[in-house]
Amino acid sequence: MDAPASTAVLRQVVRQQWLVLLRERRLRILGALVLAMTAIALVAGAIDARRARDARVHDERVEAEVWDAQGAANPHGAAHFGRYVYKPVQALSVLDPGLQAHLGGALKLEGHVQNTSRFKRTDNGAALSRFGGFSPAFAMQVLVPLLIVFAAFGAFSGERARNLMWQEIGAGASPWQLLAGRFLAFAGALLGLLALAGTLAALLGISAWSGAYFAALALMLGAYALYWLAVLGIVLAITAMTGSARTALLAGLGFWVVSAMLAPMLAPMLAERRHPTPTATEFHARVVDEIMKGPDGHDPRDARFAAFQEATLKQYKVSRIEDLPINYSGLLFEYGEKTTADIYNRHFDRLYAVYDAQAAYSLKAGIVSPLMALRPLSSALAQSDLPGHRHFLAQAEAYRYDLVQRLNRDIKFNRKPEMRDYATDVAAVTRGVRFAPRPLTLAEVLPRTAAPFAWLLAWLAGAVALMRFAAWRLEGRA
Amino acid sequence: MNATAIIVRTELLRMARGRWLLPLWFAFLALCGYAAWEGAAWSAQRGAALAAIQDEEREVHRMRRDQIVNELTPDNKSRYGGAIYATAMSFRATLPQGELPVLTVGQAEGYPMAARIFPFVASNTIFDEYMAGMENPAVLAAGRFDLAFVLVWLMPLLVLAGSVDLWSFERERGMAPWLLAQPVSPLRYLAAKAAARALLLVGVPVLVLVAVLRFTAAAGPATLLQVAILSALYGLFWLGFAVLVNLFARNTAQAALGCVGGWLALVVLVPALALGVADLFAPPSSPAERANVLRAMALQARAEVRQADGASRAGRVPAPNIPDNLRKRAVEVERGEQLIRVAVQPFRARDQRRLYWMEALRASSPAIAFQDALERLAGADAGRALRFQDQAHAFLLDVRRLTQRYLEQDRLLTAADYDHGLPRFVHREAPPATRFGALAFDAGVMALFLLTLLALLAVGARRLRHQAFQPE
Repeated sequence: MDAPASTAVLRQVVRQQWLVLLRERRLRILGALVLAMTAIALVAGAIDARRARDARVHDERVEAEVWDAQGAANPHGAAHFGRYVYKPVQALSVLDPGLQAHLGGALKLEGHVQNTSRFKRTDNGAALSRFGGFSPAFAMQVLVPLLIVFAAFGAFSGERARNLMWQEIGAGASPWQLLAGRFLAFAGALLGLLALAGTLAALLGISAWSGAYFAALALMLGAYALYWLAVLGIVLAITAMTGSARTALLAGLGFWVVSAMLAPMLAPMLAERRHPTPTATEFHARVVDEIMKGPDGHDPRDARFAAFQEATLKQYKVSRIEDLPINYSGLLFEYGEKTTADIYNRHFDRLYAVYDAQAAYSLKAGIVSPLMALRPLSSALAQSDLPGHRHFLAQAEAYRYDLVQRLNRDIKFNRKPEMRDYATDVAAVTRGVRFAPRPLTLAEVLPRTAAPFAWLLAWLAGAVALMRFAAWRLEGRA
Repeated sequence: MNATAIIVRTELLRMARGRWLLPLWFAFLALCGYAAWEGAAWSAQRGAALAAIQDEEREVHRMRRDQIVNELTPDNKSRYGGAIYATAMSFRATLPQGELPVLTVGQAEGYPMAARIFPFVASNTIFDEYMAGMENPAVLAAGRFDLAFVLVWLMPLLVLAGSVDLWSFERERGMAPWLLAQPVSPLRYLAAKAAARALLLVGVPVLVLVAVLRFTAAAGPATLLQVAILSALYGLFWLGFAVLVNLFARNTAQAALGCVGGWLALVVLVPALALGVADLFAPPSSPAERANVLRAMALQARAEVRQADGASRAGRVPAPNIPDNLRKRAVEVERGEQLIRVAVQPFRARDQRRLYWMEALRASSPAIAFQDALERLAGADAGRALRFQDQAHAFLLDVRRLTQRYLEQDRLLTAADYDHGLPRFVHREAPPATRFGALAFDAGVMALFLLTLLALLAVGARRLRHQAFQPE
């Protein structure tokens, strides 16, 4: 068949499939239902994000007031009293909340210690919490593939569809043209659904509009398009290879259960087994151990402090602490903070290296489920993933260190030996230290999305190859 | 042999001959085995963490006792304040694991498993250290693959997959009118078929579950029986649902669609919706707001005590055993506690209201009720975690009262105190009637759903016969 004729057949198949799709009441209802659920989740997510932003502004203001209300206080006591910082809400997290509920929205900053973030949304739940909430990402990652299975399982299987297919083949259409035509028809409907969801998401994120926002949104929607088309290709290949509608439906559902439910749950668990995460107790015990015994375990803190004292006396060319021109305890606090911060940084680096290894391991499960590639990609672009959180934590730690060292330096320079209880206006001392976290730029996020994008492209290519194989089998039978 | 027995036997034979039953059982066994293995590993890790926390308390006490026995002299007392002043007493309160922790992680990761208790610690901060774990958030977000997941989410799929063609098969093959013309009522016919399926699709999986639990957990027969009854109830509900869908579906594909739709609605959408309703009508209190309020209260207590303390800075002669600044601190802590108690009330009320809503909303789906029951049986439910928090808080107040006595008597801690005189935290479980009542509520919810289904089935079966004898 020459090219124009082939295109005409393809167009005819696409048109015919469109008609079938439009006539099928069940599909119209299902499509409308998924779209409505996505829209509701988007609106609810936007309202929630707005509420979270307002709460953050309020909490920041009250927290600053509490800090200022300390008045004249001992700076070291103030360092222990600590401050709270709050994580900003990212605009695209409305579309994909990612890990947000499990990350915690606030961090307590205090002297000597690097805390993990607090106030997770999953804290203090009940049995109901176990089922998780509903988000646009859930609808687009889990429900739309199910919709695809329901919509496309009967495209070639079942008595009526099979008969129609043989008639079409008898009329001159090749099996590949039929498969490609139905693929294009379904793809058109799916891309329309995606465009609607994307437009609504963009409208709800109007306050965040920028070039970077639209670029991230476009990439995210592109990733979803690849994912949906890959699932569609697989389901169409299954239906083309299966005569019975029941078998096609069960196989499609089986694929959905494995790829959308089991793999996303099992892969992170297996990754954790492969690269075990230390418990909080173990982690803190290791940190304390290193603080007390030194990095090599043979440099006890007392000895380090003695050496530091000796070096300080030597530096100032005095023989007694009392003769130092500065307050020695302030200096020691400063030195101790530097030491413990280095130790904490080292241990957190190790912990996050374990998390990274787990993420890389989980990504390998992309071989059984395209969702394993889509999830990290989508949440990376929404900045609701772990690296995005760590970026916030790193900025918070820089701020904490600066804040605590300012307080320590105040003791170092201003506390005189005759002062038994030293107190100063800690708010004034720390006024110059500000916390203004910036989100990751798209350029910083993009490298992380390369591998998942490659996986999704591979899935789409694999799905097309499977469709080709199914068409080849049908040609053999024809 | 009566007609019912013949139908049951025929159905059993038909299912046994089908090539899908054995793989389905093995798949369930594999899933249960893996989930129990994961649950056992999680439970072992949790147990080790709890033991480490308790060891920490013992180690502190041992070290301090040794200091008193070996290092303390009348001249160096001030260097060993940590060992001899009651104000420095250090305790850990831990929430022991329940009887069947392999069953589900439940809410265990959303509540603190221990508390760090010192007499002068602010009561709102005793759980802080054990609130945040180090688990990868990606693992937490994916959800734990525990037995509860297999039972609540996957067992319905097994039951539905095995009974999706219970009646639609007959209808598809054109055998329905012939079968309905037999001298057996449709309801009886369907009930017999469902009984056979229940035996193989609910009975066998429940036995598999009990065997797996028997092998991996040290639970008593009563607990295992409770798990079995609740699981059977849940399985029967899904079987009933499949039968109901079959009554209305024109073919197996339609029945499959209805079954998966129902599963999606009851296991995924209704719980998500219920959570949304809870968020709307009983939102959680803001922990960030609470932290700020309580920090402000701590500052207020400090300011008040300092103001009252005024210029009384001269030390007593002779100096007491316990320095007076610790007595001042005790006053500040007491005042702080009073302020906290008042300030925390609105937050507590909001949280209690939310919990009430969450508990009530478990009646919206048998899946939620079943999950709740499993969490209670595992000892990983919110109620138990909250009870522990209350008991840990009460223990802190006991410790403060004890400290106050030591301060009043100006009494130092001795080696004998460390040997057997210090209090120990022991978690007290809820009375059996309370626990059983909550489980009975969950079972009641499932039974109610099942009864509703049975009523609908009775109506549907009557309609079936009516339709069968209507002219086309």
